[in-house]
Amino acid sequence: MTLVLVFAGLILLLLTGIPIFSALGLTAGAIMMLAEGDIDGLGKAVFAHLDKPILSTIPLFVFMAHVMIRAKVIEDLYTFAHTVIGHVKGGLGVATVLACTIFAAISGSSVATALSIGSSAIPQMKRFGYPERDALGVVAAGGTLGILIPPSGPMILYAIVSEASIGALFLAGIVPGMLLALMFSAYCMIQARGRNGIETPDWAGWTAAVSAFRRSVWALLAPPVVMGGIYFGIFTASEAAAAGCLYALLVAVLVYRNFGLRDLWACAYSTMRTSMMVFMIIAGAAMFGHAITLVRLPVGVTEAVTSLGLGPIAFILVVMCLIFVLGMFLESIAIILITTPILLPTMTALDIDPIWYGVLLMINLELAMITPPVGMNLFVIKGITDAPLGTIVRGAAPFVGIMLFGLALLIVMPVLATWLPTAAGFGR
Amino acid sequence: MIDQQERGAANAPLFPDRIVTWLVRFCGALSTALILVIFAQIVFAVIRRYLFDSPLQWSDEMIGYLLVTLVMLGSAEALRRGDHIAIDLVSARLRPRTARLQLAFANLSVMAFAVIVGLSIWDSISFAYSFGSYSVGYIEIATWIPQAPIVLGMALLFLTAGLGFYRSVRGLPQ
Repeated sequence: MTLVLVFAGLILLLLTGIPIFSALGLTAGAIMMLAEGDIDGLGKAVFAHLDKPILSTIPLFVFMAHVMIRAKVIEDLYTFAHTVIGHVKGGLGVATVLACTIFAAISGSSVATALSIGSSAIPQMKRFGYPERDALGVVAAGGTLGILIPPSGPMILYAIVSEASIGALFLAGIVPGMLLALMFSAYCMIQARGRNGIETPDWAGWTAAVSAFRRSVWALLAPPVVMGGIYFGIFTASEAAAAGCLYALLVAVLVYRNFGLRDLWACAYSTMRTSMMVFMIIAGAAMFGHAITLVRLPVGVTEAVTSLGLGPIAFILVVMCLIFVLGMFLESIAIILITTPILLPTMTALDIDPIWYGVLLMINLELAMITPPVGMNLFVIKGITDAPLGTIVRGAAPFVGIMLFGLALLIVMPVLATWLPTAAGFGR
Repeated sequence: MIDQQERGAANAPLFPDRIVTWLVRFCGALSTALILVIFAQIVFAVIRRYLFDSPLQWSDEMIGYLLVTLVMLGSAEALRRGDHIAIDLVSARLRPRTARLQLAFANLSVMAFAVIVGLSIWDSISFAYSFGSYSVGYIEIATWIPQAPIVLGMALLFLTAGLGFYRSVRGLPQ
């Protein structure tokens, strides 16, 4: 009953359109006043959650992406993908997915991925006769890879709340991310065969391909710099993020030579604004987490699930359905920060691997990005193309099916997510 | 004529408006600078560890404190720029008059948030100050000091939301 009341109150507040952080904080305040008669400990909870060095990864990865975008390192990525694969039937769709995959491994954000790649890919695909719906759908879906392929902002948040290893989570996202990218690419090629008006550009030749590769090599090297450092145990996650920033700055200043102090400040300022949005939700979620723990809500959920006799798989299925529904209405950061503290004790009781669950959660949150009525990537694509929302939703719909298939595959075969972190020595 | 004069007076910037906006922008700039400081500190710590075999013991602790400070200095600037995420499923469909009320309510909610966190952390700071507790890490510091930026941050957030509330009630641009 308490759970229903708390969630009903929170969702009602969220629907009034107030900032998510204040909805979480006010709900926490109300719970504390009703349960304890005071608000002691809420400020301390905010301090305790923000005073975590690992959180520095969030602004640093955002900063790295801003530098690479501002220095136009990213623009060469799509040109490379387009030159290499564009001449195949459906190849422009595959090039879009490929560019999204690589950019996802730099930006850590689905919205940034859809925005950056979409601006180049959509006009190009339409120019070669792709139906608008198909072009919009592949960018919306390809962009979602940003939160599954490391580094990923939502993964960092999940790791902080669940106290799982960020390095292990990053590595766990690689294979499922690649698998989804492959499935997206295969679908693009199959879909293109059924469309009559699609033209394919001529093969540009090896000279052009090598030249495009040479121009994009700096962007292509960024993911190995970050992930290699973590995989080989050279860097912690925060250090890897700082190394990524340093790499991006060096490339921008020494190779592209279009980056000055003014650009540095502009990137840092944009990073500050983006990070504040995330950090304040963390602050609100810290208060919410403190309040629901005080009224023993997570323990209550664990007891209820245990009394139902649900096994781990049944529990995961129920949770995935719940998050899929929540994802239609809530923003992904809020979903992670609201649900994880409630579900974590039950997952521990059922011996569910938090790394595996983290990857399942990320795929589900990817779905949230392209399912209406609230789907961030749908809005981003609408923002850059002004296309009707219905067209974008219809274009993304087949990819929802592919992602659901990927989610089911990962539920049946957890090893797809857990193999790489185990091989790297995490969790031994 | 009188009507025009009255409307002009209503639209004139409030005295605290300029001060608050300047203060919030200044703190936003400090917050931006802190991001670069954290980046530089981590790079410095890695260089010290690998090249000079002399790790910075206090680095992680300092980054934690800097993070709290940068969030508190920057959150009001993000609010001023309308960066904080809200679910606009309903609010995006409101008529102008109702939308103004919704905006006023949203600003009130942020003010209430700032009061809750501000009062709560003030209690915590007062207790730490009177108790004289010190942190146990490499940086030995009175525990109330790293919490103090939260009071400043909440004051800035309250003032920014207060201005937003005033503007939405008066129908002025945000």
